[in-house]
Amino acid sequence: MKKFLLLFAVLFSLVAPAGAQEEAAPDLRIDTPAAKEIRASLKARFAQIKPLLENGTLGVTADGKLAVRDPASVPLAERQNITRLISGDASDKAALYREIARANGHPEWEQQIADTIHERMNKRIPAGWWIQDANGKWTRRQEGGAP
Amino acid sequence: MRKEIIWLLTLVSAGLLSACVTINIYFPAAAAEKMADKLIDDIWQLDEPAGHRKDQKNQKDKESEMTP
Repeated sequence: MKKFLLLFAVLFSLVAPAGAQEEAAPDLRIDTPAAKEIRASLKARFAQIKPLLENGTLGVTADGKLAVRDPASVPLAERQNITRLISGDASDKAALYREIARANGHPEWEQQIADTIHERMNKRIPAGWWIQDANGKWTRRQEGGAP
Repeated sequence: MRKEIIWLLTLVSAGLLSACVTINIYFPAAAAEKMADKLIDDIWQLDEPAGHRKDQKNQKDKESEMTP
């Protein structure tokens, strides 16, 4: 009887963490007032960014940021605006990831949230946009999605 | 008898403690992907990757067929 109890306790201790793990996965919310504000800002700026991505002036880097593909090809008159678009986009994104992590009670998740978003983004980047790999090489996304 | 009870308690406590740590460091990858897709839909309005949403929809249809 005693040995049976002991065996039961060992098995229970092994199983209990697994059970607890499965319960700890509710949806991640992105609807706090701060998050909504940042999303609106990103969306508004994207109206100007989208044509630049489509015509190849801008591309997406390996870590999900925007970059000028060929700085020499950008007309002088547009450079300041483009720099402003890129840095505004970067700071909004950083603020958004931080806010999502905070809003879901885990500020330490900020980087993993960023990585997850970049991964999903990479799979859904449309044909015609340019993407930079980890070695700095630019390629154009073809029809049929991510390779 | 006392030694075994202490062992029992130690094992159960260790199991429960590791459960707490597990919850704290467990990053909900599936929930995060769902959240990422919502965000991408909202801000960048990109198309679904080929086959992804269709698979999800079929999954949901199958599930609703099974429930009485």
